[in-house]
Amino acid sequence: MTIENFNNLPDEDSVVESAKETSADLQQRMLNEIEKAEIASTADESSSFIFANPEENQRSAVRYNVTLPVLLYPVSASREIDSTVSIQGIVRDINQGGMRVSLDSPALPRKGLELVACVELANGDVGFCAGVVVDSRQSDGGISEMSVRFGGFFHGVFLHDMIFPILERNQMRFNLPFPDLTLASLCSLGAANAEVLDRVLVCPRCQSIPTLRYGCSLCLSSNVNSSRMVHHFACAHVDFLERFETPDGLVCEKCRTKNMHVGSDYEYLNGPENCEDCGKSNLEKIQIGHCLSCEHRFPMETAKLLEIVGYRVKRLDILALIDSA
Amino acid sequence: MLSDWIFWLSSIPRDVLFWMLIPFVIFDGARYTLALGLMVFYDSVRDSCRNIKNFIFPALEEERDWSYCPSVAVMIVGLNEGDTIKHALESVYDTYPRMELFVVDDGSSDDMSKNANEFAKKHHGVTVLSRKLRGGKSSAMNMPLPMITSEIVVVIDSDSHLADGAIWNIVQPFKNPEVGAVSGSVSARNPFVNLCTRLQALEYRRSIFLGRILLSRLGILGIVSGALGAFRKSALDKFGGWDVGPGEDGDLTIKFRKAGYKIAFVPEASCLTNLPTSFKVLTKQRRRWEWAAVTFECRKHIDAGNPLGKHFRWDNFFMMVERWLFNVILVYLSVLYWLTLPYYCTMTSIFYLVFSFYVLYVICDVLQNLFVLYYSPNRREDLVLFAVFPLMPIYYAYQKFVTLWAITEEIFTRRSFKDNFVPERVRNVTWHW
Repeated sequence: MTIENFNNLPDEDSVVESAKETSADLQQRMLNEIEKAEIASTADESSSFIFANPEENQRSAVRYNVTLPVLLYPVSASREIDSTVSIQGIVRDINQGGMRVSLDSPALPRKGLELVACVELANGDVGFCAGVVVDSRQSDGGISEMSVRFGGFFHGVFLHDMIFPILERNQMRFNLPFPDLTLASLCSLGAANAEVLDRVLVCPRCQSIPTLRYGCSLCLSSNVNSSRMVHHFACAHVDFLERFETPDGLVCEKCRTKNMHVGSDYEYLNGPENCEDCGKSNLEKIQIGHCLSCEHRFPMETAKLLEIVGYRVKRLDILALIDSA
Repeated sequence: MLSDWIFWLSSIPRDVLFWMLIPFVIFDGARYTLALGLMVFYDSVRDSCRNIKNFIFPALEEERDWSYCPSVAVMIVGLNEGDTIKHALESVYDTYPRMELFVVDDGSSDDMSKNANEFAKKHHGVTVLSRKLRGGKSSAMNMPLPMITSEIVVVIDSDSHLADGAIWNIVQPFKNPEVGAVSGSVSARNPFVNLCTRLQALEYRRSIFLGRILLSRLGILGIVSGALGAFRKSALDKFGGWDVGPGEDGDLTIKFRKAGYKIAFVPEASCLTNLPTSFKVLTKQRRRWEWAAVTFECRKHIDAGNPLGKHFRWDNFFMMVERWLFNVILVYLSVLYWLTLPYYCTMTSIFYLVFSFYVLYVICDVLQNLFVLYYSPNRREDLVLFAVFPLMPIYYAYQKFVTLWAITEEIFTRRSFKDNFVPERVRNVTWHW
């Protein structure tokens, strides 16, 4: 695919519009879009080290010269990475705010285009980062160059080493912080790998995490009364605890043995379980789940086993790269 | 050789021959064959008269009375019977109108409890009790007793399969308030697996089926089978149920007898049970049976044979004497007989004597199995089983050896209280009779 296609991919409608706009208007519009994306991606303030600096500071920050091969992929308006389209280049310098890339192709990407960059490191590994084209030009030697400022929607993704599902407490359900399509496109590009973090039993109907109790296996009520029995070892007598209890302690009704010691002379047994709701007695109690989201009540043996999946992201560690440079 | 043997037989004076064959006369000739022959003769005459009467006066024909229908609680106790429990439940459920069903899982490590609970969920009136640790068969059978409100308690093994109408048949004798316990008939479920099971199956037909009919008629039946037995609940409450085993079935039966209850046997109430398929397992099973005979009949309940005892009854006395005599005393006397024989006879004579015993046992076995056919509901299978009859004398000799081994170790070492049949924590604190 040519560079023209590459430019047109993200937003085809905007190509016609952009032809009518002046370059100043276009730059202003792009900056507004980037700012919106930054706000969206910096919800997690703990990891917003790049955007802590004002823009002026970023421009004046020291740039570190590197020579690293890079592959650039465009991001569509639906926030998917198109891995079928790419351009190659070399990262010339980099700092916390962005990087300058010289392109193998003479054509220039349009400003404001959001990109995902796959940078090949010196040790052979690759790291991914995301940014927005803020400037593209032909140098005096006829080499195409562009400046990329780290930001945009995918930059928020690449701030994490690991993307964990978040428990939404009002729904008692695990949700990922990014859309499934976004994560799927990251996986198909090789920028992230899915990992099973845990397996949990959830409601078979709505996949929420249920509350648990023991109860009647027939009507699923928890209104079950248990009784306790005593087994006297010596004479094999078994009866309800109440019938063993006397003012002198436990006495076996069958053989009249007194002063019995639990464990050596007798043991406690679980007696019959009587359900107060359905009247069924002596069935073994089972674990019952009740979903607070959809009010579904079910035996836990019918619960669905859900895999909690996280995504390990191959992010480009810019600070480490700067340190090594 | 046959002509030599006949010549040897004819050369021995009659009185000497009688004394030489005395073990046979006491053990089997008089005990089974003659008594069984008399019983069959009596029954055949009685049945013939009844048939003739019914043929001439069909209006007077008595129909079988099924009006007695007490409430029944059926208990199935098992350990690691996850595979067979469902079949056992299906063979029992809904075969009787006033029935509650109890399943006791005595600490199984398989899915017996789960399978029983699944059945209970779908079927009304089924109660499942499970315990985490094995506590022994006796306490497992005692566990449902406090919850049972029925008049009759029927106990079946978890690997047993009841025949049609077994519950109906087994409760009928309870119409007589003097009857406290009723034994059902036990047959082989797996008779044709190998030679071991064929021999046992034929033995079951002779000793458990026909032998118990005879003992029941004589009023000296001393065992209610654990595979299928019924007990009056009010009597069970008096005794507190079963005591620690092994041999708890026989122990409870003697307690019933001592309390004045009669014990009945119903051959029509039959159940099929799995027989041991190897002689090793069979030997262990028979040793347990013989240990129980010594523990309970020669020690714990020895007072039942005491004419000066408080609750003395002649039928109990004869029952105990029969047990002591045939299960213990004559076993040792027969050993003495064989040990002293070389002092009086040559080796050739001993060989001919052994052959004579063999021939006599075969003749008796043939006769007894013919008697079985008179009562048998399944004559075709019994005839097929009959094919192993030439081997039965050898099988009986093996059994006598096991009996000798078991009673000797029980008398001198109380071996039954070291047996894993009862968990260690229980057998350590129970009374060692």
